[in-house]
Amino acid sequence: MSNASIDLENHRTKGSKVFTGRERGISVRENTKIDALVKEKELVEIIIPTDIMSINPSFLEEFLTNAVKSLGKEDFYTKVKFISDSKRYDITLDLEEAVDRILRNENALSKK
Amino acid sequence: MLYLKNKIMILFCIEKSSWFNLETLSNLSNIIIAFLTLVLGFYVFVYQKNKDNKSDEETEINRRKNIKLQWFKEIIIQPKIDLVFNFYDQINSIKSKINGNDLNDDEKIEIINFIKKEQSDLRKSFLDLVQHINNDLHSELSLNVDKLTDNLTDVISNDEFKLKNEITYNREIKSKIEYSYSEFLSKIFNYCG
Repeated sequence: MSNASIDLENHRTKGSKVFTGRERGISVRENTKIDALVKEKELVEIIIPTDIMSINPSFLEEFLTNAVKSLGKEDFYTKVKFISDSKRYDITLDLEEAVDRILRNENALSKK
Repeated sequence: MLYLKNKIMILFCIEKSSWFNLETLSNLSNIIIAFLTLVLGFYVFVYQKNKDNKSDEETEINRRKNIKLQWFKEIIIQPKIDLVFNFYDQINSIKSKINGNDLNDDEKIEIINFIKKEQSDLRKSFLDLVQHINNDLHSELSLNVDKLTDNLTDVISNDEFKLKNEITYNREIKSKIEYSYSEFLSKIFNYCG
């Protein structure tokens, strides 16, 4: 099993320094085929452009929803790595928020 | 009377011997009418019973709804509504963090992180509780807050907006906060269980 890499630079809106919105998250998820990559590859690296100011949980929730659901929280964090050279933006809290939301929603739906 | 009887018999071309049959017919029609009355009575009885059953079901559904709504008010809304007001107060406070028209990237990131932190706090303290009561209401409220956070993130990160300008600020930030606030409250207070 080889590694895969997704460069978010190729998926950002021209001139924008943020990734926001559920629709955008769905679009990037489909374009990058991340759902298949996390199943086929040993490691998936997601490269964050250096000048990014924020990747909002709304975007991450839709972008990563299937990956988190299929891998589970621990395996997701082991298999999917966010790479950034930026010293000003740290994705950790936004990612935790998004993963928490995905798992809560899944839990709520399974109770229905 | 006998004359009238004869006249009727002549009119309907009934022979005297068949008068007995006319009486039989009369009795028969009485039986049919009685039978139809019985059927109608039975139908009304069954219809009313079904209606009563339906009414009982509706009453039970409404009773459960009211109990659910009462719990929703007492456990979530009354003790936690201040968290919603506080969230919007905090979001409104970003005006004081916008010190000039040309914020640097670090200042912008600080404001955006502040908004996201407030959103996360609201989710954990309020929205997650709503999710246990009603998933659809939770989704609507979450979408509302997500939209607000995303709009503000887009505006603050965009160099083109001179947010120290009152008109620009009101158009790009204040109006969006107010819209989100009224929609949020409207969804809560229109919730019917």
